[in-house]
Amino acid sequence: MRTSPDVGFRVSGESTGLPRGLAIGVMTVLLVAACGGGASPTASTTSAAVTPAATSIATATPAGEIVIGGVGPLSQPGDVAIGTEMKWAMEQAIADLNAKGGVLGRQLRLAFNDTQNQPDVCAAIAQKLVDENVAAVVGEAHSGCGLAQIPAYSKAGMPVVFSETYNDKITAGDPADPNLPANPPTIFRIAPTSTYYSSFIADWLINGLKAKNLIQFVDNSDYGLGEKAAMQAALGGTSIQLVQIAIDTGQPDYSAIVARAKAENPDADAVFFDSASIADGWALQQNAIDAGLVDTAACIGGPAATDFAGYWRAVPGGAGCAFQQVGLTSSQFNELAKSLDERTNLALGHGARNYAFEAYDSVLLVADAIARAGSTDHQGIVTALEATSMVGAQGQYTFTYNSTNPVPAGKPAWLWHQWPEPPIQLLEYTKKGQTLAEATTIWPASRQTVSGQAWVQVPR
Amino acid sequence: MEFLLWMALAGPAWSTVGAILLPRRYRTRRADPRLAGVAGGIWGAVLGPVGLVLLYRSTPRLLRGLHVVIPGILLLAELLALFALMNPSSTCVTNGPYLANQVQNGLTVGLVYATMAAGLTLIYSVQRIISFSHGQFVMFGGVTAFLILQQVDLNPIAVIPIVAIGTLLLGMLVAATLLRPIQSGRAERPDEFAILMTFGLGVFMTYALVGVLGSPVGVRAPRYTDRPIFGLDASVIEIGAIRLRMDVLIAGGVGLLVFLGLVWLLYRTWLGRSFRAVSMDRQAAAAVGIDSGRAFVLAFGLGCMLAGIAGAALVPAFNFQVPDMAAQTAIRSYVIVVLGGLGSVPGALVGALFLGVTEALTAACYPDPTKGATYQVASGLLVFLAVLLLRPQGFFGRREG
Repeated sequence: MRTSPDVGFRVSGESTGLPRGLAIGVMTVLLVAACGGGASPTASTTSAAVTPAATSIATATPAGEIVIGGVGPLSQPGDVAIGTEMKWAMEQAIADLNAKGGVLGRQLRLAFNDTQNQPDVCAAIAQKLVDENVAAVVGEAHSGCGLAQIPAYSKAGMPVVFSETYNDKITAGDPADPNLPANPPTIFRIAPTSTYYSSFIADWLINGLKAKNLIQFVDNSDYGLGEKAAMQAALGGTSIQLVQIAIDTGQPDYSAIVARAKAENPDADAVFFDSASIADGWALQQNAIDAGLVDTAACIGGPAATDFAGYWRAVPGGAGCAFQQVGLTSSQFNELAKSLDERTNLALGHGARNYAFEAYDSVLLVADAIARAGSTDHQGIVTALEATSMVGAQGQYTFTYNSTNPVPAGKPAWLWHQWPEPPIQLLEYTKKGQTLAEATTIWPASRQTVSGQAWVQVPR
Repeated sequence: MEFLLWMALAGPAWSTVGAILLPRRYRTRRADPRLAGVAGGIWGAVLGPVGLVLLYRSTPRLLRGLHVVIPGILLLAELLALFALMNPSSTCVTNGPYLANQVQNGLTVGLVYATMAAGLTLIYSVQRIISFSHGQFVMFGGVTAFLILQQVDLNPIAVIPIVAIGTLLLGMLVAATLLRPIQSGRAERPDEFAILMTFGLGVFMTYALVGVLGSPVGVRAPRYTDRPIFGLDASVIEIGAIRLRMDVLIAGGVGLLVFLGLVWLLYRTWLGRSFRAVSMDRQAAAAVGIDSGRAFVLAFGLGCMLAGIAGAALVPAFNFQVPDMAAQTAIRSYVIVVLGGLGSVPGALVGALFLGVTEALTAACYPDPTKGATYQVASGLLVFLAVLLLRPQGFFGRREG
């Protein structure tokens, strides 16, 4: 069928019609977009030739190197900022260890792989690392991607330390999913879990802010779904009314939904912007400020606000908003943390973020385990990791619940191979343009900048 | 209530029956069947079998106003009434100012969408090709503005002319080199050639921009309201329940200016007349001294310039990430130009406003508040599919027999 213009300012009088191939072209664009075709080129992987071995002893290269697999997003739809900094921190850890003579007298090498936060890529990368028989795997920033990697690692007995994946199922497993064994025996985690994270916020809402009505925005991702369930569990049995709103990330504007949240929840006294995507979380937050949703309600954003320069550029109205600091504040840094922070400042132009500390420590943990195991045997590394007692940039690490001390009945299953108390605190920028060091600590009560002050309301 | 519910359930069935049977009757009577499908569909939905019988009896005297526009308005009213009856406690039903604010928000965002689609409309109007690198030119404009504003403390508006010149030159270069076979007649299948070439160019631009930035990033330039505007230091203006966001209004204002400029160019300048002449009849245009090759290159360059202006105008007001920005803007632009009618300038404006309001009202009124935002984008694509099915030529297009 052909069409022709006829109205107003249309230019031509000749038949226009839907051009041949337009429908196919539009569908192609939609398909490419849906398949992540807009993603960047696959980032270079540094996993050079590591000869696969038939035994469970991880293969050393002819030079005697021990290869540690690194995983994280260097392309969209993954969070590239996080993945890039994680990779950089892992390289620092490897360099630091090699400067001290390596491990077992051998040099370490990082084989970092871009997982892109695409489940099929994540699973393929995991299988690749298994086939290359690396000594252990560290890293990952996205829960869904981590979950997609676990089946390959579990099947191969590969030791893994996930450093920035929050979903409870990473260490708890999922009884409903045959590919996710309960308490996977080789998987460890040093990041907070969704439940731990949400419980911390819930504790602040109940005991600090004494909130009555909470709106939680989450994204439609494995992270978001985990957060949603964890917050429901954390606030279950309390008097706090919880409204949860799901968003699709990647939209230019969220003003319609925040205006609705405001109109339908006039009594909300706290609004939690809980998105795995930094850019979308910030856009949502500024849209909510513009819509007046947090004129009187407390506003809570994600840990990315520790990047204060980026935060103020994206959320110029963000004074009065709280945010979680996963990890330590600068005043709590030990020498290792100070050193990494200074190097990050020099190299990247900002202080090290929590995922950098976590990535750095995940390499140290694996190296420490290899050293104690006396070999790169996978089972030996797992056993050594279970007996960890090591001080890293974030403090003293242990994995309390393990094969010799199983998670007791009545305690949450995610405590398995989990660093039980990752440092976390709630800070607040009380004036526009503040730096991280100037932010006020409002929770936990024991660390409050001003004792008894759980939130500083800033007039809007 | 029961009647409306019955209509809701039976309406689509009668609509289908009307859309199929009425054109058949017109063809049987050797009458023009072009309006019959739409009229049959709408009357079937509004009045069921009663409407179809009336239409059947009135064959072949169909009038656009009486048989399409008026029942179309009735259908819309019926659907709204149905929504209100089924969701009596919905905020959209009980809170008029809220609804007005959401419509205002949708219209403002729609104006911004119109800016994105303007370049695509111009290129199609003059050249009859769809540029599949349109989203990448929007992204190029946005990233260029972002990079300039990172280095120089400028008002974001001041960057727009710089970006405009850059994208104009880049677009002309592309047209003069990569698309030359279309103009010279060397491309055996020009439609397919244009799609493949612009698609390939788009992929190249995406990867090149990612390479320049080092990695995919969020592109957020300083906001328009970071500095006072005419002495006004506020990012939001409240008029009753209406909250006007200054940043979005400015971006929308740029969009409106772009549209007015486009109309002026096409209808009030010699250049615009030459574009129109070339698009109507290339040989005849050549006979009166118009160089169709130059018109081709200049029109593509101007289309790319409009895309670049859109990108530069949007990054201070909206959330964009590279490289997703290209796909986001491209998909919405294609939806808009098809909704409005390919090549129709006012159609693109109306299509953009329609899309903006549809998305806003979905988020605002979808019965389950926790999922309204999730279906926001899908609603626009559903409308797109519905328009393609019912009126493939778009709002302002005309079907040709």
